[in-house]
Amino acid sequence: MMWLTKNSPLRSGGSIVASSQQSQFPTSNLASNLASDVWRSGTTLAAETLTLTFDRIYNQATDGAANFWLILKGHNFPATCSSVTYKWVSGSLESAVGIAFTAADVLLQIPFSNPLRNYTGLILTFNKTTAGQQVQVGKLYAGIGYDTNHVDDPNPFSRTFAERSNKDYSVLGQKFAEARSQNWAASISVPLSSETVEANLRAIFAAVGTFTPFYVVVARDVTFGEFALPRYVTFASQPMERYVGFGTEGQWALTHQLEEQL
Amino acid sequence: MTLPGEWVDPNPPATLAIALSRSVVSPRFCLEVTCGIRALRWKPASGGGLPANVFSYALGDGSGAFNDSVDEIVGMSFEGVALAAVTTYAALLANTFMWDWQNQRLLACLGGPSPMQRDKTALLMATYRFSDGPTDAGGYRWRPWLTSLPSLTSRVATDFNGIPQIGGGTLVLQNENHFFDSRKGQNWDAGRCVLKMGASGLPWAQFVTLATFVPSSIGMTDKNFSINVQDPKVLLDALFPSVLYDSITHPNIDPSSVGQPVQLVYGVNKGIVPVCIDTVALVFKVAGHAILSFDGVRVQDQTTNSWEVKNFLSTNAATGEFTLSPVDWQVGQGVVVDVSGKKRTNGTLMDNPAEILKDMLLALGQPVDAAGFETARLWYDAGFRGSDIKDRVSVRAPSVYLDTQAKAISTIEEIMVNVRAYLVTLPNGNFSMVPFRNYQGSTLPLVTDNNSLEAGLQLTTSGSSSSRVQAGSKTTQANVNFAIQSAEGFQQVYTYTSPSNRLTRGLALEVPVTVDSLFTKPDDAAYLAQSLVNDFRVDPKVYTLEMKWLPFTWGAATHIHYVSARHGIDVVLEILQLSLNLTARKVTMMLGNLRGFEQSSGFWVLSTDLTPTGASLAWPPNGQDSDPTETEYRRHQAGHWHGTTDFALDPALATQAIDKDSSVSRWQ
Repeated sequence: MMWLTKNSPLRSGGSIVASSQQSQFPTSNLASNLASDVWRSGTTLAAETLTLTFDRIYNQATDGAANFWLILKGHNFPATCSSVTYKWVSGSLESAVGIAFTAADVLLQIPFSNPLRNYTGLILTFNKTTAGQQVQVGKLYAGIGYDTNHVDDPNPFSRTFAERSNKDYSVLGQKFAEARSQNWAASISVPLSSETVEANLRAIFAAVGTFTPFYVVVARDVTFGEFALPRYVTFASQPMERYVGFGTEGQWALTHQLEEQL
Repeated sequence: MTLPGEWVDPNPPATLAIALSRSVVSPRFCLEVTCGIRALRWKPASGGGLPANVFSYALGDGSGAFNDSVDEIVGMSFEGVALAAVTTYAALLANTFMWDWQNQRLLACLGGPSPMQRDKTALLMATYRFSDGPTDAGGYRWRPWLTSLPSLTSRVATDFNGIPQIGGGTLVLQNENHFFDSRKGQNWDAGRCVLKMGASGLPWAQFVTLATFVPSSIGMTDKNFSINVQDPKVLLDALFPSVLYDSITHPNIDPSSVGQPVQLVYGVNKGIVPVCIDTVALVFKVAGHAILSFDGVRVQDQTTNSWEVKNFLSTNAATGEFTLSPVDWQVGQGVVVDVSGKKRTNGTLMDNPAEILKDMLLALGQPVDAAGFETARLWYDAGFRGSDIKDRVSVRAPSVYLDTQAKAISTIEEIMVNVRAYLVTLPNGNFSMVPFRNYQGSTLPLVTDNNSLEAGLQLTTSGSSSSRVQAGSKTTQANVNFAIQSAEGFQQVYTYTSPSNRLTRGLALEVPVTVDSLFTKPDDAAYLAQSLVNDFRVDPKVYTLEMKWLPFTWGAATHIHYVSARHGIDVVLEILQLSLNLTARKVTMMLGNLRGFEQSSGFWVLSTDLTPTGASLAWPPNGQDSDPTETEYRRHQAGHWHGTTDFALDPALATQAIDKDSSVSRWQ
């Protein structure tokens, strides 16, 4: 299970600059915790860019070969874009790499293009089908993740859906209702965790509390379908940590309650 | 475009009315808050294609570009004079401003000087947009921070003595991100708060304004920012008339009149007391505006106290002034004058109550709903006098002479009581006038057991909606004083008695009510007397109903057709009070049957009742016809002030209304 809590361009020293933006939906919206605060491009450029500047230097030696993640949530591809690419920013010119996307949120594990270089940012390019279209990105994540390294198995995962509709009945029993959004709520267990995993997850909770949204990926293997999609969540409550004796040493059985952030 | 987290209606409605007619709705509540920002520190701006003499004001709070200091700057004034908005740098010429949102700055050009001048005020009007959930209605960014709305209650007094109003309350916005910390010093009472309602998938143009509030004060906590709001009617608390007499303008004025308001006079007024503005030249004034005519003057004999008719030495209707001869009047003598008051722009007498109310509101600087006042004007319009089609005759023509300062709302309410109409605050904040009249049940919104919520019907006859209903519910006789000439101690009385009111309640004696009216004509007094008695031809009933979506855009002082098979009810009811619970998404209505509903002939019109031409006998929704014949027939057959003459016997009514048309109704 992947925990993504360190969004580099939104941390101190990072930034996001767009090639264009609509006055009502500037890039500053991407820093908002609300999923509905989106960035929307202008309508005059054939290709729009988002230039991400990292909060620090990232490289393979420090951050690992396969631990840098990009999430694009609440986008309106492919309705507006024929292709989307990313390009690492370092001292040298990097090549653009295509991003595979569907109508769902984008989750991409992107390797450093050169294991020896220091990277200071990413440039995302959205090639529109027509210049008059408006690209939308709801939330953006670029940064490293923390993998609890237990088996990518959705078994320790149970979920429900919160339905917030408002209902009343007439004298003769007709139902009147307000249709409202549903959101996802889940209980996630990380069984038999080591002291290290427990400490890292406790550090994550200490950083985000029950108030700051972050991303989780339940199962990174795409064969798990929707479990492989990034979920924009907060902790619904404080984690439950149970210490279990296991042979000569103990292990932590951790349970986290998460709720999707609208 | 859909936002993350936004519920999307798979079958989007075309209008809000369609949305609200469904059982499942996904509403959008959007709040536009406008506030003032006094711009103090300006600096010259140049380069980038800017013309000369442009100055900039930075709105940012220093947290970086695109810090969302405001959503939009919608206006700028300098020393109270509005500047024109432009959208390009090149257009920034004299007396213009531009909201340069990309740089979060306001650019302005006064044609030379900086807006930063000692003791001069540059005021920006900023708009913030909030909603109670994700929406990009209208292509705007709505911050979904709206956590609480005031209970929107509109209500009417059942005796017309009051203005239907939306309730005040508090708008609560979340402030956990401390957005408002740096904005609490802005002038929140300088603008308006406009609440709009739409639905998922509804075009922005179809969103409906539910209410316009006047902000009064703000509050802030760690969690919330609150704006206390009031009904726009609070703006009518101003003292009126507002212009006062002084001894600089009129050096020889009667000292006792200094500080008194310069009068306003509407309609035919008899025996009003003028102000002597020149005790040397014997100049008197009855109004601060032009009037139609001076019709007579009388002076009190100091010996006998009798009032003697005199002649004017001169009159000047354009200034509302006249003079008397020293032979006829000496300082200290009483003097009264008969006048025909303010004129229409076409030079005829402004006596229609709708015109008078509109004129007063405009004088108060308040926005009015032109269409609503025109409909009301037509309702009171009884045709033209003589051969001059412009010289319109009105029924229920009040005589209004404002010679003492009072709260404008008090004066307006007094007129409303007399002409039996409501002055309503429309959702957009404009004032409109709604004369009370009959409605056809089949044309009204239908409420049944299917769409009233399970709280069900509550019925009371205790008159809880108005103390007058209970106290006067047995009124059988009305004595209306009219043509009141207070200074001379003279008035006339019209008495109307309804035996059925007494007999059906088992009363041995009449239960009278006596009122002073603003009317001069006997017919108008008769209408009021009849109305006061006929209000109580049936027992007052007050129904309380709860509904879900349908009434969200209804308002007080409108009517519904209520049918309950379970209770055997099929009536037209007037909405006395309508409360929107925006949290529970419900509406509670208090409905009344008063003013002659049910067994009174003037109010219930069946869909099968037709005029001679085959049109419905019910009044059209806007109260007017293209065919005057239809109008006249409805007045006679279905109006609550129909004349004694039958339509068919008076062909003159087809082309013009004559005095007969405004004669006394008999309420058969």
